[in-house]
Amino acid sequence: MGLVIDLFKMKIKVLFGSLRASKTSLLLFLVYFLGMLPAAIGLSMSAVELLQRGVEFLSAYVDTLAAIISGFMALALISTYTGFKVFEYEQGFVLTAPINPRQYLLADLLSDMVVLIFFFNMVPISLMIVAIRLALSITSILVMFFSFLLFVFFVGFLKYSLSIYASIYEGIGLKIVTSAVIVVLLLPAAGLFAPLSIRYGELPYPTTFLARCILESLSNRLCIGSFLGLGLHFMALLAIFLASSRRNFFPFANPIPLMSPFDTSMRMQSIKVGKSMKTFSHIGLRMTLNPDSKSLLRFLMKKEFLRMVRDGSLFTTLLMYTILSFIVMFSTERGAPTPIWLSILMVYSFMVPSMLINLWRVVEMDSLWMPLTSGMSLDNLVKAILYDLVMIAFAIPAAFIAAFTIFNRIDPLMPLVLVFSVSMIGCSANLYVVTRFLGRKHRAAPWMMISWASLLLTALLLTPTYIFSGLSLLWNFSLQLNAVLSTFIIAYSILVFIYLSKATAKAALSIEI
Amino acid sequence: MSGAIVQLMNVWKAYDGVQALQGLDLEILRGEIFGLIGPNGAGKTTAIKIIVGILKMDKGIVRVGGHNITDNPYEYKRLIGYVPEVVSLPDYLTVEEFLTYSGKIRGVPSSMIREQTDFYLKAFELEEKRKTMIFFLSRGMKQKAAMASALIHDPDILILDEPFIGIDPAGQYKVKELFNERVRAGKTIFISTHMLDTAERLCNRVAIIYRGRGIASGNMENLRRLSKTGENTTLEEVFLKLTQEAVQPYPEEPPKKRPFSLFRFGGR
Repeated sequence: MGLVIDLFKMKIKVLFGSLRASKTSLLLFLVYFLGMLPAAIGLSMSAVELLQRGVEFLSAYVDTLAAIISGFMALALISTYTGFKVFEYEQGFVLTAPINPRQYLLADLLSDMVVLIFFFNMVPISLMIVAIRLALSITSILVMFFSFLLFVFFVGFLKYSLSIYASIYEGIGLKIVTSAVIVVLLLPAAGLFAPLSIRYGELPYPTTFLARCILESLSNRLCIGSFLGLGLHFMALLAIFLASSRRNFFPFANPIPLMSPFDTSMRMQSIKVGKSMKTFSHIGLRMTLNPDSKSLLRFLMKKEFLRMVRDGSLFTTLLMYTILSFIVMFSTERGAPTPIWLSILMVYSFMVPSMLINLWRVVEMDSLWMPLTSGMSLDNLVKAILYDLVMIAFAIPAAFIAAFTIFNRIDPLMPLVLVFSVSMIGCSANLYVVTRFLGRKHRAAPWMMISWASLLLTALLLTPTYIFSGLSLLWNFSLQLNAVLSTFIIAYSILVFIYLSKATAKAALSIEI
Repeated sequence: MSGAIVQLMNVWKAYDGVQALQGLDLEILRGEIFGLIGPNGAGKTTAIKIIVGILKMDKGIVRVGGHNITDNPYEYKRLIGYVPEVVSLPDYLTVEEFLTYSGKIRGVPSSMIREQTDFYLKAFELEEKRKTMIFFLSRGMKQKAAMASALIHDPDILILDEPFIGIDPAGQYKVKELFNERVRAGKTIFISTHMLDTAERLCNRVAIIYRGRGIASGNMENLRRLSKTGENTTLEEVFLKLTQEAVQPYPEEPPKKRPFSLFRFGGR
């Protein structure tokens, strides 16, 4: 056991390495943690309100909750297709040491759990608030806690066993079995959208048992049957895990770069972008840069656009909005009111600038020495990046909104103003924060935490836009009033954009590589 | 050779708790190949990064082509071409587009960009890769593309940090020939290298840097005299003798900071 503990400690040190490396990382994590608190409180308050409405109402949520948990479980199963993955440093320094697979797996499982708790700290906080507000009994809290624990270990054991066998046994057999399990697991979720008779609530799935345990514990009821069901699943997987962990999978392990919420290298993202470049190089090479462009800004904008075509940024954005179109089409067919699709659009348009800027960072971070040593004005560079990003972040959803509102005879003004504001403020705020963290001074800052800080600033600056949209929806403003408020929001967004782009160019001046 | 094109006067720089440069003085003359040598961590890359403007010095004066780089951080950059030690290029551009980009951001006219691109693609044997995305190039080819990009605006001084790493022997020979041609045309080459035999044969003058301070500089004859070694001693022998003699305490010890640590597992 001593060796397992030592291995666990080392893994934790590596995974949380950047938090140890600089005070900035710690500060960013605190921002992340504190930023999550309002969300945790808001989530738990609305959950409390729902739960106080009554137990009958609650049972209807088993299917929905089980479907969400099944979705997460399916993601874990999909990751087993490519076999057992170890970090590159582990392949060189850990797997060559005299340790056996089971010792390694136990240490890995424990470290994964710590990372999960650290990263999803919002969940236990929300549950604690709910437990206090609903005055849950100690038994209910304990049952809920142990159900979670059993389920996490259950998924861990399943993932490890399938990955090990996928590494050892070549051929398609295991992939077919895994795919079948995923289909069976997700099939009842279709019942939430389509008229299917299969429901999670009627099936002995581990996800159903967990959903029941959570919901029944929340209503202060004992769920012995569901808890035992979950326990049986856990025992079965424990047996499979004990058998699979005897196999020496070390020679078959698949090395990957270090990946953690506190990762600073972005190597994994670089590899993914590299794959995109291979795919999109065929399309992207039809366009080309030539030196005849009279204005440097126009030349740089074209170069940025080429980057977005060739690294897959444009395609990813298009794909995201295509999926959104399907969701919206589907929900409107089922009679969903305007606010629902507008909320989805709001979330999407909020995330897209962050995603685009992150991709820019991954692709351009290491070659920044070129513009920085060229002597050109960095204003031009910042403007070129921002103009292109805003164009993509606005034009694609605008086309979608135009098509959708014309088709459904809805006034397009408010959604268009919303997306315009989100893309202007989102792109400039994200680029500003990312630029502040570029360079050697902040090389230990985890990229995920930087993204989080960018999102937080974006949300803060978007408050007037959100207030306008909310009021417009709630009070059904007249066209004239909407037009006045839209002008105000557009002017406000442009001002924020100009201010942040200047601040970004200034921040870029002090980048040290 | 006439006059200094680069001057570093009493340059200091500390980062990550280490005093990387401690009053470095350096003078690079027009029309020479100047080599900067020193052991790992001596401050070679730090000095170069300060000159090209991607690292700020704590104290001191740096002049490039007569410009004080602190007073005018942009204009002097038109005089320099730079290739870093680890070459990272915009992978999504083709080689030709990359050279165009490099020329455009340095304000080179489009006709000159075309001419220079053709010339350097031929000189570095990259013609066949003209329309290939940089992502698909080997490390050596990327290094050559980076050198071509640093030359596209015909800079007065070419600054290269470890320029021969990753380039095959034939490529290295061509690069050296190109350096000599440029020096004959009155241009300056400044390289930092660990390859002492190359530095000895290629450079007109060499500076040895140790623990952030220049400990000797000059041509081979001067260095032999400074190190009190014989007429036939190599740069390697001179370097070893001078760096061994220079082993002495720092004039200003860096503050001993306790490393920041959240978690202290284990016995230490």
